[in-house]
Amino acid sequence: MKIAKYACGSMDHIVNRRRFLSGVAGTVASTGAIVGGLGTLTQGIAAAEIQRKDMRVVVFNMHGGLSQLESWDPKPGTRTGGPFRAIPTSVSGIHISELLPMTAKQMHHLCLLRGVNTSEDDHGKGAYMMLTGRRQTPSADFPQIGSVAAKMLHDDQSGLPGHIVVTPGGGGGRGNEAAYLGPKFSSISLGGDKPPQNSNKPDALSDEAEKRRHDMRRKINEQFLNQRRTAITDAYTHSYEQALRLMERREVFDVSKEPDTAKQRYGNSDLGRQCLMARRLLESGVSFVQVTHSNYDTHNDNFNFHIEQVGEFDQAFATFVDDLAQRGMLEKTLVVVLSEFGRTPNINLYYGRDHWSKAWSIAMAGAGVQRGAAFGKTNDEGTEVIDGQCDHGDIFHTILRAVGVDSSQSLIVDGREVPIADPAAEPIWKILA
Amino acid sequence: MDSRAARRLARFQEQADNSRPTTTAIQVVLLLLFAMPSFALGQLAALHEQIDQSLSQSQEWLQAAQQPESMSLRRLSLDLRNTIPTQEELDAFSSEPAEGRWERWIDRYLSDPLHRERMVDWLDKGLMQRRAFQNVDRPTWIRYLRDSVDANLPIDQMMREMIQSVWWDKSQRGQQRFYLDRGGDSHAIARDLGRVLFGRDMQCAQCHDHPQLDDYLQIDYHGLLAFVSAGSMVEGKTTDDKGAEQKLQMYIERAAGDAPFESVFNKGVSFRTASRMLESPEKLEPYLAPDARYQPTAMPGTFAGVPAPPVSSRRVLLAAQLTSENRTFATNWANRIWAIMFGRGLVHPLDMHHFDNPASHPELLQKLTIALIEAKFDIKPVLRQIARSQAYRRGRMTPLHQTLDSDSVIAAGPEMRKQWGDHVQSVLASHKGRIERADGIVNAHHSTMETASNAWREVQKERVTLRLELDGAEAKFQDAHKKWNDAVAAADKAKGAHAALAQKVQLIDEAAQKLEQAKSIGDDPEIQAVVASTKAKAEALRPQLAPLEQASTAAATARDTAAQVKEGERVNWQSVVAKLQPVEERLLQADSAMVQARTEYQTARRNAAWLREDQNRWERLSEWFSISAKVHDAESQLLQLADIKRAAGEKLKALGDAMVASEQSLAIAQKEHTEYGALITSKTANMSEVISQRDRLTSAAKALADASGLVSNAANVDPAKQELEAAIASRTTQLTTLETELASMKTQASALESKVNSAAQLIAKSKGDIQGVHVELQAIDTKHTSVQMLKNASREQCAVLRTEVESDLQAVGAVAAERALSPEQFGWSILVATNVFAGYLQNERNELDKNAPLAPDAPAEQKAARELQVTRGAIDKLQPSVDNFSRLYASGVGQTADEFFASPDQALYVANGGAVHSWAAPSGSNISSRLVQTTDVQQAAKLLVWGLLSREPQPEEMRLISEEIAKSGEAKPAVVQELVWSILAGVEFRLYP
Repeated sequence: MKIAKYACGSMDHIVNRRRFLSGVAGTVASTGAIVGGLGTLTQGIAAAEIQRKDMRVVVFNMHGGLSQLESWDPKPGTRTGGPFRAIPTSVSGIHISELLPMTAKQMHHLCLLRGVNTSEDDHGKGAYMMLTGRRQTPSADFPQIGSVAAKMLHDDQSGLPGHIVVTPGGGGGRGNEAAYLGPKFSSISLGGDKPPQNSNKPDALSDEAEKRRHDMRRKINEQFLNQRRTAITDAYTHSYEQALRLMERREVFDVSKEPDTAKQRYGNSDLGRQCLMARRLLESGVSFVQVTHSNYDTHNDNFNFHIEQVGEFDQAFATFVDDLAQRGMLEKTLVVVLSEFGRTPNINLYYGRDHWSKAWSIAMAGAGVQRGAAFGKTNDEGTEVIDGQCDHGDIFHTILRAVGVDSSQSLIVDGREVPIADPAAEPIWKILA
Repeated sequence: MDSRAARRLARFQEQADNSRPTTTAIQVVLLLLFAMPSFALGQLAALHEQIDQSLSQSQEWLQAAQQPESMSLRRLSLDLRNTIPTQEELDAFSSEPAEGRWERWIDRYLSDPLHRERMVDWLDKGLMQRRAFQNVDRPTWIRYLRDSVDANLPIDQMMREMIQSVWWDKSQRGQQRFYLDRGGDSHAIARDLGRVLFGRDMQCAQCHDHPQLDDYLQIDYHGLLAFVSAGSMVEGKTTDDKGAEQKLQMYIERAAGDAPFESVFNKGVSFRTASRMLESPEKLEPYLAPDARYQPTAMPGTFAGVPAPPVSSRRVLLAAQLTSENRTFATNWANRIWAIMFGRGLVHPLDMHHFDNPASHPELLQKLTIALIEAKFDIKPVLRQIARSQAYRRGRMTPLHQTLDSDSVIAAGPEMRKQWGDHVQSVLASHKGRIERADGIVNAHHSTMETASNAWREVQKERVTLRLELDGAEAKFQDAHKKWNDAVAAADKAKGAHAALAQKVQLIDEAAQKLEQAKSIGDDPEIQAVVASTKAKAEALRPQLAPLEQASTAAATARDTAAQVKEGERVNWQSVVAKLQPVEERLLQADSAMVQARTEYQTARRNAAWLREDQNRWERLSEWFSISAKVHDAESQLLQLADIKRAAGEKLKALGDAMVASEQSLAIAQKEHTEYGALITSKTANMSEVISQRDRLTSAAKALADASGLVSNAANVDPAKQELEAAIASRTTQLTTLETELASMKTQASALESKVNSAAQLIAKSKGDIQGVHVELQAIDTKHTSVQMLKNASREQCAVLRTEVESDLQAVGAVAAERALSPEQFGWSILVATNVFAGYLQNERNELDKNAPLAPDAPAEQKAARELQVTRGAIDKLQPSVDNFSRLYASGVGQTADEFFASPDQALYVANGGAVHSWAAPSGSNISSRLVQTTDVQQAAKLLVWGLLSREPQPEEMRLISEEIAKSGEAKPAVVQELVWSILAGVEFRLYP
């Protein structure tokens, strides 16, 4: 059981201590060798933790609702299929939409989930469900996957925030996705390729003055800490050092540092630059990055729109996955492509597709998820799931499992046990490698 | 106090007495740490003494030390005004005579305009948990809170007004915000009513009895929900200040039924409950006929098209029960008020009043509750009393605190530890017995409660069946009612149609008559034609009258029939109600029995839980002591090992010295031996030479002898012979000498050889010895390492335990709780510390004085009112700056408490956001500018620490700061600014003293 109370000096200590005591005391009693005791302790808990801390998650949020028929689950030549063909991929037997030619070549890294059924056709509610793994209720609020991932995976020492949302327009502030995990795990939002707010020292301060004031701060703190040092004071002083480290690492956010060839490969688009930023962040130790691609809500002119939008996505995404694989990062990074829902098989009067949550698809790649697989199936016209059905809760569990987090554990919030994922759902074991 | 209130109080105390833990037993147990004396009624004035009694410890070293009074003032100012004291206040405070000073300053701060704003902030966060302004704007809300605080509205009254505020009155939008900005969602509202009014967060009990906390039952949640479940959001039209049309959401109330629910764990078994209050049975309301549930007309208000309110309002019903007699309500507020001053509740977290989370000092909480009731829910006198207690002025440091470092505990020695160990063991042993007994009581009460609950469930079944029947009867009645309504309308319509036609015909007839008269004027064919056509018209219409009359009569009959049917259904409905009423009366009895049994059970559980918690505290203390003993043992072992090692070292040194000597003597012996060897060799060579000479001479002599036999000239031979013989003889003599010499040398050589051998042996032995000592040393080192590791491990455990014991001490109020400033306190304190706030105050004052000068002899109230206005003006202008802190430092929307957390974006804001650093710049008469002007660097250092941290600097700080300033030279203003910034950004400024 992990403790969610982000306040320091609280129950974290109790649990750690119990672990500590049981680890040491047990071994001392049995072998009398304290060395063995400490060794076991380190291996038993810390090693697993350290290993897990290496894992990362990146979520592509296809805002508005990506059409599964124009992407992962095409139904060419049927009443509902629309004008596009299906093309073969690098995995024999799996075909995807011709709008994704570059992604098709990366299929051997991907795992498609074609049996998603979330029964929620409202944008806000659907997005909430997909990102928190639960249905929204008035009386309880749950943290989003990014906050959970940051809590479970992030290494504070990296000097970078654990939860970053990259959007083309916005940027600056802190989100409010963490619910009871506390704002520490809320997202820092980055606008395209700009670094976070306040990450540059005031212009008026010389380098020397900047150094001087922080030195003074440290010295004055030291006087205080000699007498009163607790988890709270440690956390507080540490946050300033983290801030300085983040300032030092500002170049991580500077996509212009990438060679032109890389920029070209990702495509001259906002999404391309966002993906490049995402890769840089993941490389530098950020645990969770969400990239938003907007907007897929195509009630009108679905097909023209998807040609354009999915085309942009195809290049950026395929390059991103390929890059991760080439750099050996895919082993430790889970890539998820999701929306709030899919789009209706039925084509409406305006050549559009409407909201559809009964049978749609998402894609995953990397970390502990099977490669080159397609799980779940819809019927010929894509109107119903006929095999491998899963929902938002299962997907949430699966994401956590895929990066080594036990999704059945609970956190303690204000004395209450709150399961980190919906206890009524469970991981999709079949796709976990 | 009027007699009714006195009775209530007496009843309350009776309850309190009944629910008190087994005081005497516990008192014995708590002799040392957690003493709980009994209390007397009616002593609000002496509450602070009672607090001290409850929070006192007889063990000196567990008692918190007082801190410098200036730091206490800092705490008081933060608690009562949301900001640190100004430097002027600190100066004034420290120059006052100590006698009565503390009390004076409590009163001064309590009457400060900032205190009102603090209470506004407290109410705002407590009621709305940082929710966004959706349906009520911020000015409306803040105005409502300020008005309530200005009127010194008792908290119970405020809650009642808020709960029963009405939607049709636009002037109550502030009161309505509790509902409106929860989106009118009845579940969200019920959950937060549970939290705010009763300190119970029962959201988990929505779908089932709480699985872990069986103190929270589904019936409690749904009973509470029933108070508000008939609410919903409706758009209303009104006009805004400028007279333009404005559409606002209203949270209206409909006539309520009861709330059916079933457990997700036990599908199919359903229950019904009307509204019910915690710890009391269901509130049964009279059954109103379905057509008599609403007020006949909408209330006059500022809205158009407002639905009429129900005759019986659940909100009014709920409000009526928020009184001193409602124990959970009063206790909750007492606990919340305590938390204003102590940073944590006696029950903590504040929303977790339940039997497994008992108050740290159950009796104190009761005393506080009684005091609050006695003060008629006026918060101020209670705050005053809490602030007056000694306990409130406790620092975070105790003698124990300083000894919490395990070294000092070790230094305290084994004797003390033994004493403690024995004491703790006896406490633990007696606790064990008590816990067993308490558990026994819990079990007994549990079975009583189960019996009562089962009885209640049985009646519930009957009730649910009848209620279903009533639902049917009600549906039928509603149907008949609707049909009757339709029939009335139809009858009215038919009647109207007939009447209209009849009137028409009549008018035409009358016209025709008049025209007849006109006919007499003359024989005008045109008139005749008109008369004829008019009559014809009347005659044409006349036959239609009869069918319409028939239709009207028929409709009237249908209406009367419908009315009969409806009345029939009413009778039917009433008969079901009549059947239901005795069942519900029985239900109420069963309910009361169940509630009583449950209250007893809860009390027993709470007592047992308290004992367990106390046991845990003792165990932690004992564990800490025993681990510290381990550290001590390890440390003395380490000392012993160090001694042994030292001895071995000395031995090694002696051995080393001896070996050096042996080696030297060996070297000498070897050298001598070698020299002798060389001598012997040369002597031997010498001897060989002499021997060979002698041999040559002998053979020469022999040859000569032989020759003398051959030659007769003996005389010539003799001299040679003699010469030879002499030579031989001399050689023989020489040889003899040499032999003697050689022999002696050989003897000596062999002596030397044995000397060399023995020296070599000695060296070999020394080597062995040294090797031995080295092995010994290695063993010591190994031992040392393992003991050291044991010590370190134990030390770490000690440190963890220290943290726990420390938090126990905080929980029981033995020391001040460690707390960070709230985001608002942090923001306002920075603004006050840098004089930015003072500047804004002055601007406001100037502005107001310019527009509406206040006479110098204006009455005190006017002046106070002006100051309030000034303060609020400044606060409103600076609020956006403080909001920046709230955004970064506060827990999210809907979180019940601000938990401390530290994140880099906060630090980035303070460091680079611009605001804090620029506020620290020298300007006007702010602290930085005074520092720049102060030439004495020591004085400057003092000023800096005093102004920003409310205390005297320590020598090291003094040195550090004055050095920085002294060496700054031209850059002094910049360095001062950096210094001020570095303290504002420092850890001490972020925390309570």
